[in-house]
Amino acid sequence: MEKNNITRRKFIFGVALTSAGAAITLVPSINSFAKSLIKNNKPELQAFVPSLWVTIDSDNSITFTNSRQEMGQGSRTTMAMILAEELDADWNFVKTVQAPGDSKFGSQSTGGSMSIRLMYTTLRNAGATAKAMLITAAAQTWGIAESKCKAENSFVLEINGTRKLSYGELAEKASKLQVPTNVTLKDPSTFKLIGTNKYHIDNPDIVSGKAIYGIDKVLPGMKFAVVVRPPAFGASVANYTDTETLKVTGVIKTFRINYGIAVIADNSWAAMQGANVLNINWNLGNNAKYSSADIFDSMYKAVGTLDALPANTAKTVESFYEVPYMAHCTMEPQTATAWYHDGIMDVWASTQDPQSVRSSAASAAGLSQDKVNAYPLLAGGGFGRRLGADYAYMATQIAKQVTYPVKLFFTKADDLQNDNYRTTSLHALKGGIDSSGKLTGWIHKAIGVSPTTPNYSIPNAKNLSGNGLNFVPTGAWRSVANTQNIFANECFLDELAFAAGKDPFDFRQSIINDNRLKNVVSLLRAKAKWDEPLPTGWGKGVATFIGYGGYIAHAIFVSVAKDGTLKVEKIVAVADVGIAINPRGVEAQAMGASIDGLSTAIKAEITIENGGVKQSNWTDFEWIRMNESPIIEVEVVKSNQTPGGMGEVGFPSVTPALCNAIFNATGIRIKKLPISKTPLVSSVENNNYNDKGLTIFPNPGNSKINIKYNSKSAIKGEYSIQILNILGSKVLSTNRKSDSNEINEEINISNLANGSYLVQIVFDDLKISGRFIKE
Amino acid sequence: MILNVNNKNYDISASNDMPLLWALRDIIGLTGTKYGCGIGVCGSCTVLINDVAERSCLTTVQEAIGKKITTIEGLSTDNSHPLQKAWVSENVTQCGYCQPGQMMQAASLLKQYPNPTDEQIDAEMQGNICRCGTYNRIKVAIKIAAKG
Repeated sequence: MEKNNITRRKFIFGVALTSAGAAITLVPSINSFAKSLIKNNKPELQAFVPSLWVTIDSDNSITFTNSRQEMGQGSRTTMAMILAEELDADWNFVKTVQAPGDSKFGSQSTGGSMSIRLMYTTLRNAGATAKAMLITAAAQTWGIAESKCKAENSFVLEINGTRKLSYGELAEKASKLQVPTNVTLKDPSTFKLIGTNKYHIDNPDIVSGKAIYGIDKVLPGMKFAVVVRPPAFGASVANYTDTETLKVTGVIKTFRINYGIAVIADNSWAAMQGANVLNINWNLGNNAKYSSADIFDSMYKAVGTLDALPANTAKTVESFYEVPYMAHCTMEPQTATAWYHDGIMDVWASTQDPQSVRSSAASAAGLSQDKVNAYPLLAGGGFGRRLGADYAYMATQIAKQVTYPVKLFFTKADDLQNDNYRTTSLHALKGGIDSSGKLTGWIHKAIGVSPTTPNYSIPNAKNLSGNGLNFVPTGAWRSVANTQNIFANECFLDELAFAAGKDPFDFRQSIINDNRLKNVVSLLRAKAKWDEPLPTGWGKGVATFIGYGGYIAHAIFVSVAKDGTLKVEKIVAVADVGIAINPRGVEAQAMGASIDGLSTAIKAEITIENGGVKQSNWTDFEWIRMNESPIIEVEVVKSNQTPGGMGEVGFPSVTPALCNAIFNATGIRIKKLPISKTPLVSSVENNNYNDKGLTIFPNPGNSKINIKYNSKSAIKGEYSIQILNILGSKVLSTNRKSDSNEINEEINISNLANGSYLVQIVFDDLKISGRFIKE
Repeated sequence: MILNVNNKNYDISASNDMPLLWALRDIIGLTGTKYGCGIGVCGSCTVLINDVAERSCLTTVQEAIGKKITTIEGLSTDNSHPLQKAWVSENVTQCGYCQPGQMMQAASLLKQYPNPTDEQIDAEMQGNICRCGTYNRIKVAIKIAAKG
């Protein structure tokens, strides 16, 4: 009767484990963070018993409780794979549920490419422990020794017999057993699941629209909120009126919270419409006088003088590299839903750290943390943005003041303008070459970030740092300071290779000490066909990175047309991340990081105007689109080394490999990002590029440009004026008719991202081109 | 007003200028269609209107009345649409947030070009941003779906 009962009876291993008091035996498997908790005798220690991670039901389903957040990097799949491997579980029966924010799970802060590194041993132990108990349960049932049993594909089998019992059948008995104290982990060479390609465990829900992201949370009676925030960092609301707002159909009320003015409505649209017509007077504060130019000025002032290089230096190279602020600009804007009821605050959010959501919500509501529940939902991208919990704080403050659940969401503009940005930085570099072309010394002074020395054998390397004007809130952004440092270091290394008259690949290979990087680089040289001749107009660049337990090198191939249009032809990456749990996932991270790298290198930037962020949407914060996306080839090195991270590993070397390729193609060295600011045409004076008869003014332009073209003969018929970005994508286009010999057109460029653009006047049989800069 | 979504009529009350996106998400409760930019430049909110891809953030409910609206939830009832199968088998998704929009755009593309070239895919799909950078796999998946 029991077996046929379809009621899902749950047997949670932990009940037995905890009551047996044996949990402590699993401590050796936990991470250093948890170890520090043990030292402090924190009760959170209990968190690391396997009971927290796995539940086996009588219907054979295996539920993995994931404490790491999912933002597209695949934690809900790879973490489950690690557990299922040691458990010898049938992958088809494994599902993942998300743990609420609770310190009993140890750190849930999902950043720094830590998930696999943090959980690999813990989850292997949890799987092996559960499996050992299931084997014991089977052995006891059959009255034979455990050594006569083995586990396979969610069954325990009698080795020299025909008897077998499913995990579901064994679950109840197993749950009453004492936890084994020293389980044996598999030899990695016998892994069956780890190292195979599994698709994202949420794929079926994502492709059917059923997957629930933070912004999709729905509760009965829920209302919707947006918060209008100050236009400058450090500004605040002086006073406001909401007469017009309350006239908008669906708007319920407005009130102040710490971050600005909340507008509550029956639906998202009404909340946004109401927010648009609030009448607010701001105290602008001290930062409203500053722009990006002031920030860069302050950084240049902080550089000072760099020391002299060693006496054997025959050639000295000095350079500055500029990096702008960068927004995370996740596809799903920040959002949180909060509901205050019965003295409890429930919060749902797409987050990288539900514990931070919980503590922020408790602080915002004036409640103790045991009165707050934080439930993480799928995140539409993270990249570091969701490590903080400002959105949860805001939602909670709103929910505390009303009687119904409230979903707060940032509009796209709110999200871009109220981020914790990757910081802007300035890098002063000085390096020397001796008479035989060898490096003599290296000085890197970074303003805004702490500099790092490249992962090569570099004599007399010196790192210095300083600070400029800094009022813009900053935070972790995919690969953190490596985004700036590796760009500066690897581009400068290229400058030194050029000064030494050496091939940049040869130059790097001659100074690599690390064996894994050596292997990665030699594989890349072959895979990318580095030594084969390139078509005319093409260039190639290389860069490497070591970090987060991973090793990677990128070769990038570009072509640059005579009119300055850049095309990224191909990206080749070789990555060694130790044992790749899910190789397709590693490849996906490398591909994604490549697009991230290209986007932020070529087009995207955050600039400051009047103390606030100027960009407001994907129009002036441009991202790589499909037509601009190159072929990306990724080779994942087969390895038996302990698994490293991957989420951040793939990013840092993309930007410098690209810039080095542009130099190789054009002789133009990119010294500031994004690349779109630097016209890739051979003339020094950008205007000189223009075809005869074409003038574009003012150049550089800001809000409007005038395009004037005089033709010797009358222009008859239709023509179009097109504005193309650095990658040749049309960003503005207009069709006209003419019957005179002059074209005069004023074009509004205020919505374009800053950068260098190509203007084309296209006639039936003729194309007139010119360039201008938007700044 | 009555909206026909995924072959079902919904009688809703909304102001005429409300974008279809918010009627779908907040009133009808179909949250598969995502908010991304609100100005028609990211493609996350793409739905089919009379079998052609449209940005639901720029289409008012008034304009959608009397038309056949298809959202990601209506692509199939059992993930059997060739695009859904290809998206799963090629493991296209990372965070997955933009993918409903990508798939609806691809559905429209395949109606127009049953066997699209790379250039046709680029031209039709360039309005859909993927912040995770899954473009290479989207392209492969579209070609697989085109073969049925």
